[in-house]
Amino acid sequence: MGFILLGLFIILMLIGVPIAFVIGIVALLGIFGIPYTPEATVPMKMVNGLDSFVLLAVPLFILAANLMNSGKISEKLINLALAIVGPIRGGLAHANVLVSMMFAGVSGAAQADTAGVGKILIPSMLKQGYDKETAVGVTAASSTVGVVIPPSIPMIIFAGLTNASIGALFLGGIVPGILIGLGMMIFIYILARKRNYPRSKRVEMKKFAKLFFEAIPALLTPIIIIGGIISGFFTATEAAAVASLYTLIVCMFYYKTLKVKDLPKILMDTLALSSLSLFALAAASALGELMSYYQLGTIAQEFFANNVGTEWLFIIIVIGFFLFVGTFMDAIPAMILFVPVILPTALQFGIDPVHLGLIVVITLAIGLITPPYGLCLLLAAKIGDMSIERSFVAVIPYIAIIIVVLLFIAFFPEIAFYIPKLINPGLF
Amino acid sequence: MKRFVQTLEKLQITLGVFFLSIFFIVILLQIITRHLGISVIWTEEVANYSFIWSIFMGAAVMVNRREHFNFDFIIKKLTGVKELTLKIFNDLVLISFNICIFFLGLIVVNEFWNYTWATFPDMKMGYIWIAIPIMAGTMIIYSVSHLINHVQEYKAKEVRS
Repeated sequence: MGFILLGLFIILMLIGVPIAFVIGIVALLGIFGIPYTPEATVPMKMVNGLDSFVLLAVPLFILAANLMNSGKISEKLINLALAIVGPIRGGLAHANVLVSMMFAGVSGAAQADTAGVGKILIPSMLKQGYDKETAVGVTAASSTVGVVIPPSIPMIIFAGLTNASIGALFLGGIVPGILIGLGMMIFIYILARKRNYPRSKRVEMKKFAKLFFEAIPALLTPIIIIGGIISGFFTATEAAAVASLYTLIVCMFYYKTLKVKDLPKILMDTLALSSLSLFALAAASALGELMSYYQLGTIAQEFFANNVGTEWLFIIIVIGFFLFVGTFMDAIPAMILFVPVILPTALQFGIDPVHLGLIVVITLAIGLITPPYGLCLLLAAKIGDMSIERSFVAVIPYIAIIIVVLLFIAFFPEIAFYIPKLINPGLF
Repeated sequence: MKRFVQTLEKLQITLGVFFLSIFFIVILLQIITRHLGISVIWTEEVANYSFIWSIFMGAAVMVNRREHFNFDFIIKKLTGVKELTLKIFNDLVLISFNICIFFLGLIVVNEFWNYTWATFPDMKMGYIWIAIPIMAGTMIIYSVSHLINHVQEYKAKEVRS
């Protein structure tokens, strides 16, 4: 039965049925095949899958990001980033990475960063003589830090699935996120010298101070969010709502870049984007029910115990598997389906759930730029008007950088745990 | 038909945005009341249920806009009648699945209509469960309108060839 369903899954997916529906159809047919389980389990599980307070963080963080883009906060961050790293050769590309890291601190949604930053920086990079490959590649690839640097939607979902501490995951994401950003900037520097990319003039101190002060309200957001969560002032979901409200207030009353009449469109875009991955999640919850009926978690545990004796090989398999799944599935449904399957084995090997979470989240971040379904890649390719194939070739060096950082974190977790332990030793 | 579908989509996304705004505001209310020491127990339940409604309404609208991600490389490779045949088949797959979810959803609604919310005994669980058949029903309408378009294109192509 399992193999027939797997075959059906692959066929339906290949002929172009939307993946979220493929998941639902397989779940429905699978549950038809189980005796004494009513078929109404499928719609019930779809509702139950969404009935979790943690998930409300997803649309709210996307809302915060959309407000930042519409309220032109992204532009202010870009200006500041340009003032800081512009004078380095390849300045616009460096600024692209740096602004993604700043953006990552406000929102947990990477696609919004690609859209907001790409629309401004891809055209200006092309105008200054950068290759299209570099412009599209940097924009797409640097957005992946959005889900690694806290706050992060996938980390919140992972924590909800495994009871790992959200605070520890968030703090653990800081070092890998910065390493990925720095790695990309080093690569850009080498590339920029080779291709003689331009750099901008150093900004005068007075102007720099002005740009910095302008960006302060935006730069405060990460401190409010992370600080609020770690101190227990609010939960991750509440933090997402606070981030949205704060951005809304700053844009409407401080920068005056947003009007009430802009809100309906922002809310509609937010709903549109979040309902895609969350509907896939609802369908995945139904399929997860089927998978737990077949006890895939126990099967995986036995398989790894008998065939894969070592922790490092297990970690490599987990990374390889999520890299593959991430090419065609959104991070959220991928985690809902497969984290429960690998968790028992990971615990048996003595892998800390926070460590596993970082591995899974960084691996799935790569899925944002791998075709056929890499949202950031698709968006950047569209903005730069370049084919998906060429765009993918352009991001390959950046993927290599993320993988190097990922392997470091996977095998030397102490690097990532340095900050969480420093701030709150009680988390471990 | 086209006009009806457009109006329906507009209505549905407005409803989705309405629920999104509700849970946004309710969560803010939850933070404020907690720190003021006022006990408001219903916030989480209201937020969760509004969230479910908003996502299901949004997901249905996305069916009309064909935004749910699918692999298109086989469809892109095909042309003419073959391409349309596959598109028609895929429309039928979505319609069949949603018909199942619609009726199964109605069973759930019937069965659990009179269960009440944990924090609001006056509110029935039926108000939540009914989001499923509404979502599936509207998804059927959108897919049928796609199907009609594809069949019309198919006929036009056949006449030409």
